[in-house]
Amino acid sequence: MRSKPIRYLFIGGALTLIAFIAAVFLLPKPQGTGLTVGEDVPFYSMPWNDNPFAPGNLHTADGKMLDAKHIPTAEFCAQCHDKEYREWVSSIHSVTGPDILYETAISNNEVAHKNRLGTEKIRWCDSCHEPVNLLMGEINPLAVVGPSEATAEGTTCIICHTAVQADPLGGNGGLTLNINNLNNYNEALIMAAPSEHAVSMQAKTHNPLMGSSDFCGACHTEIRPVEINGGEPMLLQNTYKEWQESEYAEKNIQCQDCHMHPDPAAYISQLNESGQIPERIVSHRFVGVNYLLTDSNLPSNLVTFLRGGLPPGDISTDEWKADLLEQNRLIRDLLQAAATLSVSAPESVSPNSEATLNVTIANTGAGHNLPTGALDQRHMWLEVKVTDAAGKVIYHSGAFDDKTGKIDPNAVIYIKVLKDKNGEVINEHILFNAESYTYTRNPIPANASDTLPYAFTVPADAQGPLTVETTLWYRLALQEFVTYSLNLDVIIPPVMMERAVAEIEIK
Amino acid sequence: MITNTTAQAQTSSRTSVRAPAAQAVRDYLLPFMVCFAVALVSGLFYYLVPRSWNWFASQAALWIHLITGILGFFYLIPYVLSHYKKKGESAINLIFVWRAFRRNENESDWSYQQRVYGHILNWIMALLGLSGFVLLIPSLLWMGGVVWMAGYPAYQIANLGHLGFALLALTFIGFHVARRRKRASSQ
Repeated sequence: MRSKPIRYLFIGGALTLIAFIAAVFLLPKPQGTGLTVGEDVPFYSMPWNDNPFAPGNLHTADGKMLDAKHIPTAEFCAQCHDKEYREWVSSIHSVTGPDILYETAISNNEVAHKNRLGTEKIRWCDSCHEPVNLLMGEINPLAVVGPSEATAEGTTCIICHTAVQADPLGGNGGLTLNINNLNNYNEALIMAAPSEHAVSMQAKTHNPLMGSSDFCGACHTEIRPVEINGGEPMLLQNTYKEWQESEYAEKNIQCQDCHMHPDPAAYISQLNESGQIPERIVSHRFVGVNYLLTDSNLPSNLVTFLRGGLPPGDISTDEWKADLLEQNRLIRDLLQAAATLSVSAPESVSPNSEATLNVTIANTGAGHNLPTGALDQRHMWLEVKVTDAAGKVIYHSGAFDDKTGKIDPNAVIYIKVLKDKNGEVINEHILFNAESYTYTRNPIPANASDTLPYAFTVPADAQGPLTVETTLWYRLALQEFVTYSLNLDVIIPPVMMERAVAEIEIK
Repeated sequence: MITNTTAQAQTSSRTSVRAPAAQAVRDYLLPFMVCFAVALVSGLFYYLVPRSWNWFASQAALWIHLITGILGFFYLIPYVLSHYKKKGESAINLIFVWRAFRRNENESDWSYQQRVYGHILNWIMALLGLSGFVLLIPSLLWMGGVVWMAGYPAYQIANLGHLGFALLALTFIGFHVARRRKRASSQ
């Protein structure tokens, strides 16, 4: 090898290679930042087994607890991922923990099981709602860990972006997070060579789980474990299974396709009109149904109170409220895209006769049951109003009283009625005490419909034509929960999902 | 005491020790080639070896790649300029490269081809440095307090370009040098 350039090149390259091979074997490997129960987190109560996160189903890959000081907050991620942060911060995922409705509900449950491991049982709820708090050991009768910025962020970025395994049928936060092995990055190096960051933060191109319904199912399946109240496991939310049994799953339409689309209603309309699956475009808004926690037009700055305070990160209140309103618009549009309503009425009726009509609610836009989720609170009902030409109301079912927040008790309503051991109805989401439940009417599966017969007597003096107005309403929570648990003098407004009108002549 | 005579002597002495172009080529060759070799191996190591083998080794490789890449580029410039000077090539041909493709009077086939390959190599090296710089821009901006990135697909394209130019440069260096060796051995 006489040529100097080649000699320099070869020797330089060979020495470097030898040095790196030696480095692979000789340099220490990162040890992980997880904490050990007892040793690092003392006085941590584990009444059921050796799993510090029981009775929830959330796990860390190494079985250890989380050291909050190593957890990047959403605010940290926002330095580079501002678009994603802005989308997330107005979503419900950013307030799964701080949300006052949730905080109130877990307090109620904890109090209901006071001296019966109430605090430890909350870990079941916090597997999905406050995963960082749970993993770091905050959910304990004794305060053994201090607060951290990341605990105020609900389902923060790092939770989803470190998930390596999902248990969608087991639910209850059934994710395994590789969260204790986050390597220490130099931010400038991430900017120079972001591929490693993309791999370790599970961009969906690197981890297909991130783009799959299995991932969402881990939290959108809720089964009350036996540790809570004995008996058998109680299936409370089944959204994943509903999807799995639908045509959407057969067509490979995943939760993310719709709920992470920048405009889910537009996605549904494109899907229904063309029959083709639209291209996947990802937004971190996670548009669902919570129109209440996104309504920044509510009086007295109520939305800030309900969301548990101002958002984390460098966003002005005005910008945040504008983002919330946009989120609210997307939610309302999605609710309105979920169902279609049709009325089948006779062309004409005679005075003093009984008229019958059928109202059909079709689930034409949801890839799961309609309604779905926490159905002891969320409910959908049908209002049917018949008026004559003079404006006189002849028949009215499903009226909503906006002074009391009460719905006509005879309305056709889709809700799950929870009962305690004494047979008393549970209206305030005390899931710990539920012994049984019944549906007032079964939710409508994807692409199915429910036809409801109505009958009314046509008065002798009714002036034709009669107008039949049918409205499908949706409401996020029961008024009792807001009035008695939150102690708020606020009426939860319903959202109109769909309206259909028909006319009947009088012979 | 400095007199006119000693001052003159000093000046002429300084002139006489200034390295001629051939010496400069030799002086810059070692650091440039070593930097290129280290940058190439560390870059390929970072690109090909799974980080899970040893996180610190991969991070060390990235740092070393960045440092030797930048350093190598700074050695490349004086090396190429002195190489041009040694070969009597106009430096302006570095930019107006089509002028270099004109064959000189009495230039042998071998010289002409070697000169053309050299120019191609220069441009590959320039593109290699440029693509590396493009990859480095977000990092430099970050250090200056500005967050900017053209997007992950753009990064992937630049990264692929950088890798491709590195492999091309390696091939052309080998080719450019091997032709010279082959000619020398045939003489």
